[in-house]
Amino acid sequence: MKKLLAILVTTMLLVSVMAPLALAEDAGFVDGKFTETRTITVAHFDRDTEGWDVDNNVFIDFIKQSMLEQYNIDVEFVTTPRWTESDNLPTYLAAGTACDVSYTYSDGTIETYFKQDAVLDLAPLLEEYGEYLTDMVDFFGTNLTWKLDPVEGTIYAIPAVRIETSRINTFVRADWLDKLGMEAPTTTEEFEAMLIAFKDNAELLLGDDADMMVPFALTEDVSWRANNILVSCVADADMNDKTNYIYGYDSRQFLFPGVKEGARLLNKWYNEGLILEDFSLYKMGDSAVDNLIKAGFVGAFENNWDYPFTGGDESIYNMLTEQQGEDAKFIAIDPFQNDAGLTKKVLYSSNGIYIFFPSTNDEPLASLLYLNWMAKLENRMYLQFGEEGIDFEYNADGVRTIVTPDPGYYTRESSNNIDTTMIINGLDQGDATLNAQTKALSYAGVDSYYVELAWNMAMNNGISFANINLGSVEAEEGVSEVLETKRDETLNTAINASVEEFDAVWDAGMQEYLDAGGQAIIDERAEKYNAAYGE
Amino acid sequence: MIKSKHSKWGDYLVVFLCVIMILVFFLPVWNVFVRSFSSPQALIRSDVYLWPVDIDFTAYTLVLTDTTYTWALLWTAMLTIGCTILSMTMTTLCAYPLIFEKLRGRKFINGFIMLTMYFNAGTIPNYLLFKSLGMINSPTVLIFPYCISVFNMIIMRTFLQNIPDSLRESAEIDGANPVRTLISIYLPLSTSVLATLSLFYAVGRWNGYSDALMFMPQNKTYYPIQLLLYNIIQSKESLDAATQEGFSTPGASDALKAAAVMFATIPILMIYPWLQRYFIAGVTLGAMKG
Repeated sequence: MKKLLAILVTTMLLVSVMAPLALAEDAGFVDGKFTETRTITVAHFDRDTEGWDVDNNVFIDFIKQSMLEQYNIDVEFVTTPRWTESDNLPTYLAAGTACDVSYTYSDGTIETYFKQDAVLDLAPLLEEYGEYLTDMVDFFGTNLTWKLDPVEGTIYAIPAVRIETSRINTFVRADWLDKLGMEAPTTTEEFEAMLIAFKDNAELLLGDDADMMVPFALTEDVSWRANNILVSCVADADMNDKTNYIYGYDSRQFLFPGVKEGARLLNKWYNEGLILEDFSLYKMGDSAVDNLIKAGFVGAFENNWDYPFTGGDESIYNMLTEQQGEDAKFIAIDPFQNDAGLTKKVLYSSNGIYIFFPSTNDEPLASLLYLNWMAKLENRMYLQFGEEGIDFEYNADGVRTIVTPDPGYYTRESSNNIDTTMIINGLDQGDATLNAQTKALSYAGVDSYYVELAWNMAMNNGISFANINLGSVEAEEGVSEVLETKRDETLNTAINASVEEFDAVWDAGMQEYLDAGGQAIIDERAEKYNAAYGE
Repeated sequence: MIKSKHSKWGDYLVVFLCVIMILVFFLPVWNVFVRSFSSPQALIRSDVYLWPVDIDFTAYTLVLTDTTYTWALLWTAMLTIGCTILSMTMTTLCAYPLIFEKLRGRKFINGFIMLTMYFNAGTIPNYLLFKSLGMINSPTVLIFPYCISVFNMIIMRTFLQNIPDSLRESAEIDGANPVRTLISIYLPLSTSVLATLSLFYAVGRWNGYSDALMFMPQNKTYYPIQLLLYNIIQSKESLDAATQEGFSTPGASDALKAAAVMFATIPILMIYPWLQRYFIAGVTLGAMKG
């Protein structure tokens, strides 16, 4: 596979060097510009952002104007509601109305339609037009071949580049630690001791509300809300790309060897009364547990690396300050060490949303040029930052800080303009330090110290597993929902079990998971891996 | 009539079960109602169950001053009234001829119509059809495709069939043509079924959002209120999306969500009690003879 990747990239680079020779071949495309205006349609999510209007927006106008001047391409944007896009997309594809440049997180949908010839194979296009796409090749790097089929050589989608790979953090109440005269825990044992101290000192910490004390908050979504704890029980030697390929079907590492011990630890804590008693009742989307955190009843929890800071005025950070006083703060900690004494945790991979062209796209070059145009740093920086003084400003230290303009022409459709700038997830100024500085200042009302700390903790000893693409795994088709349910059931029932019954409950749940298709996936993945790389 | 002790206890049991059932259905709605009046702080502390805590009208102020909500409500109301009138006209015009035994091919037409009740083409073929008719992203897609429900038409037909033929014959003797007979004889005798079916259509249209979601995604101006509501709830609860994107969207407060739900529910709840008696009569009728 690596060979194929190398050939593709080399061909593109080689052809790009010979670009001037090839220019004359396309009569309609002279000196890097179409002689007649070409029109492409581009998909754009709509999140009902106040003030944002696709027909009256500075970023959209910038794209249209720039593309027309530079390439003589007329870009038309077609919006689709963010929250229903996965329902709408199959209809668009089947009916042939999908945009020339489309995107979705459901790569399974794209693959399904690709197999039915409703989605274009990008590999020959990248090869044919590589000479005009140098910015894109530089920017996307290995993401370009992320979905390269090792046998057929096809590419049905290109994932956007995810700049920020930080994923999950553990947060604790710093003011509670102070009140108890404790240091932030640096090991799992210290973390446990801290939870016990929270529980034992409920009256000191919560006064009349002592019975509301929740040392560690969890929800039904255990594999996410305790991911760093579970993963810390995976042997250091197993935190590698091979294990991730074979056992990583589930993006929550549920099948990784050792996760059972993480669940056992949670089961022990649960039985000691350190975990929210009825956590399994709180499903995804239920804000009850967040409300407990905001109300100041929770000592520690895990979630997205910046979770306490997001949500503006209603963020955990701001609500807690408002209700419990200035001192009430959650800080990120990184205590869960594995057998090698390292706080290994899983980071996001560098892939974001999947960009693809439906087969109804009859302007593939113009569509690729659009992506190439956006890949240029100055273009995507404008799309992310906007106008100085309106969408961003420089602070005293010369760091760009994001400003939210009044709803209207200058409104970003979403945080970082993630949809308008479809090729990138996360703010990028071409420099990691600048990015981190800006990031630290980008949460309304939040002291940058806490954000920087959270970022460092989330990235500390983090692993981004490599993308190993050995073709589609047939055993994975149609089982994702069942397996997801079984995963959550197993984790929840096992943690809720008594300490003595833990093994029996876990083993039974895992067996059901494997019987429901998990084993077939592991076997097929192992077989593919061994065939490609040997045992 | 002499009542046995058993039946008395049976009555108690039935009443008891009914009360439980009423509570099961009523309490969640009531809870949403009181949440919509409570302060965000009280909601966060999970203090709100049966009564509003720290009564606060901010959420309603937000909903009522946002023209998106008020327009969606007005538009949905217009849509509901218009669609109900259209649907009732079409249903009557379809059902009425089918009661005439002398209608040629009556059995075939009946069978043909019934077939569409059991076999639906599905979303994508429908999408293609509407697309070729130029209805995609147009509000007409909310009006015409589903303006007649076969099920309702059958209820109507059955009702009309049960009106004695002699009445029709007497009108015919007096020289009335079929249209006149419909207007002067059948419709005045069918008020209960007309009211029931109107309610069926109105409630269906009021609560409907999936047609707008599938066939009119890009025309936000004409989103019915339920789709607007669906998007609000979805956008705030889509942790899945937050996980994929790596950032969380700021959520609306629980009070705002509750207020939006009540805003969309109260109008249709208000017309229910007035039409309830027709509703029950009509449903029973359909069940017996359908």
